[in-house]
Amino acid sequence: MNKLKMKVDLNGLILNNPVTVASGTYGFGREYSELIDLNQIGAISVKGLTLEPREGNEGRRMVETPMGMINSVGLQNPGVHYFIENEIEFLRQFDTKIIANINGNTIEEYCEMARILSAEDVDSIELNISCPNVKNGGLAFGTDSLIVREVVAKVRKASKKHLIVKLSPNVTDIKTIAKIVEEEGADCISLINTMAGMAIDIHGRKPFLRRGSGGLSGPAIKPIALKMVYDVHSVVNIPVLGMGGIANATDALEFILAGASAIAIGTANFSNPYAPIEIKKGIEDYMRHYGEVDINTLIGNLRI
Amino acid sequence: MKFVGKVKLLKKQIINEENFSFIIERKNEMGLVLPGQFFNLSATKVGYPMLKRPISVSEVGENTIEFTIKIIGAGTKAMLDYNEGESIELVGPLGNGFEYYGYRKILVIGGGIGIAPLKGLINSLKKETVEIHSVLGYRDVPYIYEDFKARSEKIEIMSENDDRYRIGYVTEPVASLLEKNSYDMIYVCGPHPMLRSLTDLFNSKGIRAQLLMEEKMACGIGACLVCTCKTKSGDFGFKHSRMCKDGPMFYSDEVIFDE
Repeated sequence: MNKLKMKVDLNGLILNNPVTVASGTYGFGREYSELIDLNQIGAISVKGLTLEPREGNEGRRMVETPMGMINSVGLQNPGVHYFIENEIEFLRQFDTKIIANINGNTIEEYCEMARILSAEDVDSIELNISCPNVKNGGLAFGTDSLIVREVVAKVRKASKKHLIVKLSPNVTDIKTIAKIVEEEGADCISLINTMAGMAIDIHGRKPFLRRGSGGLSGPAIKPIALKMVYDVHSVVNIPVLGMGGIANATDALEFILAGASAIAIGTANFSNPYAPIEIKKGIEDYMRHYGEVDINTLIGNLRI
Repeated sequence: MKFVGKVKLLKKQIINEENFSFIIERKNEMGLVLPGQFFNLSATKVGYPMLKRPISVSEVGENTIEFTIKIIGAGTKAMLDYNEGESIELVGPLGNGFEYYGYRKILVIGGGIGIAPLKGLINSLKKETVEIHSVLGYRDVPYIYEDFKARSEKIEIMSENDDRYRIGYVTEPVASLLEKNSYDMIYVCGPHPMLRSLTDLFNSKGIRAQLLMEEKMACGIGACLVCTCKTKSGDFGFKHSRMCKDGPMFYSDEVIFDE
């Protein structure tokens, strides 16, 4: 049997295979390491980090909806310093790339975290620009193209690490945002983050979530995510890390054919802890079936 | 040790309109399974609803595990469609169960389906060494109380609506038992308002109990942080502990009930 070439290059970040796990769904890998072999995963994007520790939102944080779930965890995390002191070494035991997902209240906080992480043993920084911008009335950084330009440019100056910018789907034109992100020096674009969503308890006449609404993830958003990955891939030259509702190898291959150089699994980890391994194997089976030897030949290789 | 995979449903039993039980095969890879722990069970064979359902064990046998399940929504309702002999995908055992070594006189207090995990607890305690007092509360007609009747030195069964039993909530008999007895440990599982009012009672008397709690969960293993329990941290602070991983058993004097 031919040896398959599964390595992908996200513009300087080389993954053993294109299957990664999405930030917020995998903690710092510890819990899942008891269930699956983390060496099989191309990269782990860790739980969203903030400069200071955060306890996250109070009250109910999750409601399941048709083929999806809405969460409002509110970035509960132990802070970037705790991550550096207690989690990097653990993750380093595994042959997988570490992506540090960072979240700021202000542009200065993003830059500060990028500077701090520059000196640390992480393989990439993923800038989550879906956070509310405190100085801009709480509107997400990622929805205002001027602010996207400023935050990406400044973080780019603050750190020489491989830089991924994770886009929010809650925008009018994701292609415009993606082009700005590329112009300002990002190495890679990941998308999509969760979509704003809501569910209401009609008996209590209240939203299920204490915060009212949250981020929808899971197969429910997959077709939307796929279209956005396709659109972004068509307008930028940097690689795309695609995600949004991927639950099996077919989903993953759709994203790869639409232009994603790698994919991330999020919500599917919850319903199937073996999802990353099964998806990797499913991609390999597909390649063998069609006589493909290099995953890279599939990326964006749609017959249109 | 955690098992991820499929097990055979050996027996399905309908208890009443709202409740049923599954007896599944117990796999060696599951290791030790303790009362108070739970498994994350796939609700369906077809993958919708998507998330697994956290279900407490209600009995741990030599080669079997029993779950007693209340139909509360689409997931638990769909679970009824599993037939004996079919496989169920599950992950577990998960969470921290009850701590029960060395206690000689205990009080168990259950409300509704919260009685199920307590059944697993009392049946794993040796008759000769542990004196059990039980208070069980139901909304309507009592169920799964037989083992408690057989095993308890004292038992009080309460119902809100069934006048063949003492009408009222568990809090009244618990208060009078606490006047006359001193327990090495108290175990509670039931609806949130019950946990809350009992915790107020325990706190006022300076005693602590083990509360088995619940919350909507996704991963069930402590990675996704959607299920939390607000607990004390330091003298004035709080933290969001993970219900699935740090619980679902918490000591009553650790928990902050503010809703």
